[in-house]
Amino acid sequence: MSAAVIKIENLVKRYHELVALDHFNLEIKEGEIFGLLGPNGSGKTTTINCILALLSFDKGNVEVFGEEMAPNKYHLKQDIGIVFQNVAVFNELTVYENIEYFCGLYIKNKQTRKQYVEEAMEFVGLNDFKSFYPKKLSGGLLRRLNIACGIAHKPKLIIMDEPTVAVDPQSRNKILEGIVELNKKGATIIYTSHYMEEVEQICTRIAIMDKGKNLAIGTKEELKMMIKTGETINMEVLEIEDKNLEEIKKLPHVYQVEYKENKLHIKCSKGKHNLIRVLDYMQTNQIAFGRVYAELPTLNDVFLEITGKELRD
Amino acid sequence: MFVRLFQYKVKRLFRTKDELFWCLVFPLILGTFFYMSFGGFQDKQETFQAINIGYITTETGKDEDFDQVLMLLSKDGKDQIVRIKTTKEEEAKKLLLDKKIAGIIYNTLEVTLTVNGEGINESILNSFLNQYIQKRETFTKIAQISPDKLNEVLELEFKDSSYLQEIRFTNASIDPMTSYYYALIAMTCLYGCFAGLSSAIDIKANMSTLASRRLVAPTNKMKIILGDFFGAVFVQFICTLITVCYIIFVLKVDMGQKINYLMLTAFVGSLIGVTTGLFIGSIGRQSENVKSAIVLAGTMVECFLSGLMVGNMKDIVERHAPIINRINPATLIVDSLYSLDIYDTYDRYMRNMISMLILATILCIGSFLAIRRERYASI
Ligand SMILES: Nc1ncnc2c1ncn2[C@@H]1O[C@H](COP(=O)(O)OP(=O)(O)OP(=O)(O)O)[C@@H](O)[C@H]1O
Ligand SMILES: [Mg+2]
Repeated sequence: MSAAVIKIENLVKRYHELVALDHFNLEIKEGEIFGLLGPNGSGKTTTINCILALLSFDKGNVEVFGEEMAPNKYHLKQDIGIVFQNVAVFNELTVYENIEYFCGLYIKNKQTRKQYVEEAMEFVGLNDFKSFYPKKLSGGLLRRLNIACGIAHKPKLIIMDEPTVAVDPQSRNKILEGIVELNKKGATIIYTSHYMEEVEQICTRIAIMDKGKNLAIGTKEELKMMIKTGETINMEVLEIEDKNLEEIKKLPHVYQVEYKENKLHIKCSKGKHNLIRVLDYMQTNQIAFGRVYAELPTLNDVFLEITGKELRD
Repeated sequence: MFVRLFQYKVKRLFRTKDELFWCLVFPLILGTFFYMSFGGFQDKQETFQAINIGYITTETGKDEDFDQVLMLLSKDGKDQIVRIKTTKEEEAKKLLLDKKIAGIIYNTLEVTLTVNGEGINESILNSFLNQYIQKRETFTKIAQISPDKLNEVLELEFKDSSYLQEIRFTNASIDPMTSYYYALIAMTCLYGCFAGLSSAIDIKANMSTLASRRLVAPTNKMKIILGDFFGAVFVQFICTLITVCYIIFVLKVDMGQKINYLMLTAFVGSLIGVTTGLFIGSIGRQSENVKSAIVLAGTMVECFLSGLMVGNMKDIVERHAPIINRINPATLIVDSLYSLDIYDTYDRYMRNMISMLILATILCIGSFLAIRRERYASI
């Protein structure tokens, strides 16, 4: 089994009355792309700041690379790369200079640094903007610069706090591919995001947190297994009587039926032949319907069930 | 590492428009504005104002020669150097207390001087008296030893000098308008507070994400702050030097000959400007905007008290609350420049310099103690 890169035990962090982290536990292993999912204010950023020893906390332990983290543990910091949620670059420095500046806080050798900076620029696709000032960059390009500044020094552990907000889908894909590539080259990655698809796409393991607590943890398959929903059947139906809705609900495995805006959503728990049974019923009762499609549960469903709210509001 | 951080800070500051405006453009504009409103400085010999004095003398025992010299110097006209306001002792004492006259010269049994203050006029009187007494001794001696040479010596003496030239300690410009330029230089130095403020904010994780970003790097916090700090001092120093050069070479204001001391003053001044900003930035959790407003307002008040807006403000403060003049960095800078210009000795200059260095050290230690904190309770 691979070693724990990060180990958080019983972490409690209070901001006055507010409990931002409530006996939070987390263990991240080497080589993972770990997704930290949680609605706004659930404590993701707070967790990250505690890992980095920026924040003091009330209780608990934080270990990084098997050692307790502290502000002056420079040998640990050397191997951590961080992309903060808020863009942190110097407005008076160009794209190149910014990356060079931050890389220079880690890499002393000039030659190596130059090479790393160029690779980072290539990595986020900012080559054409080398001498631009951050103010002149669009929101998405700025995010990419933020990423480049965080990873240029080739860290072993990369922490990214919602790095792709405001990045267009095309560049986002490029970034995600890049992250997978960094991971393949050996970096462990912690990734927080509001974009479920991103997390599903790249993360090997996912934790769902809310109100400072770790509610569920596992691979996406494991998480999906945890919830009741096995499959959702959607069909376009122009009209249907309440009596029929009641009867559909009584079909095996069906536990929730919803009809709104001419669409019928039928949620079924795990089991086979759900779709066939529903279609059968419709035909027998001569209810006209249009397009039919079945959906497997998404992380959003998982999230909805576990926390009782949508991830993105 | 330190050098890199220093270089980047310098680069960043020179690219910050606000910084350049306040530290470079604004002082130059203000200097030009002063120049236009005061006019040129070519006529300063003519604009020299006669020094008001009280002259107390008795018929018996007075030094006749001195009497004559003084009458010569107080003759109305372009060359008038002193103006005798009164010859009554009581009145003279009252005038002296009210600073209506610079000093009282007694020519009774001995020639003596009483002054109130240490301004330029007081210095001139003092020097004049010393010179007179010294010369008198010399001539008396020559007269005793070789009376025949006396005429020769006297002739020489009167040919090559006017008293005015001799009583000058240095080649000082004594135009009162110069004090405005001193205050302007002080202001330029003190605008270093902005660069100091940004240095503090860029290292406080609870004030900026940039600070968090820098703090998670494996670089010592003190190294980062020192790189930024000296970068800021350097930039401020350059801005001040440019302002000084502009005043001396473009506006042609006479600032005396001691260029290296002038530069030292500019440096220590910049240092104290930057530390002030650093200190304000380090303490408290007010937003950056509030802190900028505080340092700007503070600097303006300091400069006002040192005479940037009202020329003789410094003297007014000296009379009513002298302690302020001892600790107001702007006044300390102005007074350093002033004493450089006026005195041959460096006592007063050094006193000011040491005060500034002590002040800067206190502010620096305070800032470092405030910044040193390792983890934040809230970000
Ligand atoms: N400096 C602070 N002072 C007081 N409360 C804070 C502070 N920072 C965060 N909080 C509170 O702590 C909780 C967790 O905040 P945190 O920023 O960690 O959430 P998050 O999961 O990162 O949210 P988001 O998705 O919006 O980034 C929130 O309720 C927030 O209001
Ligand atoms: Mg956050």
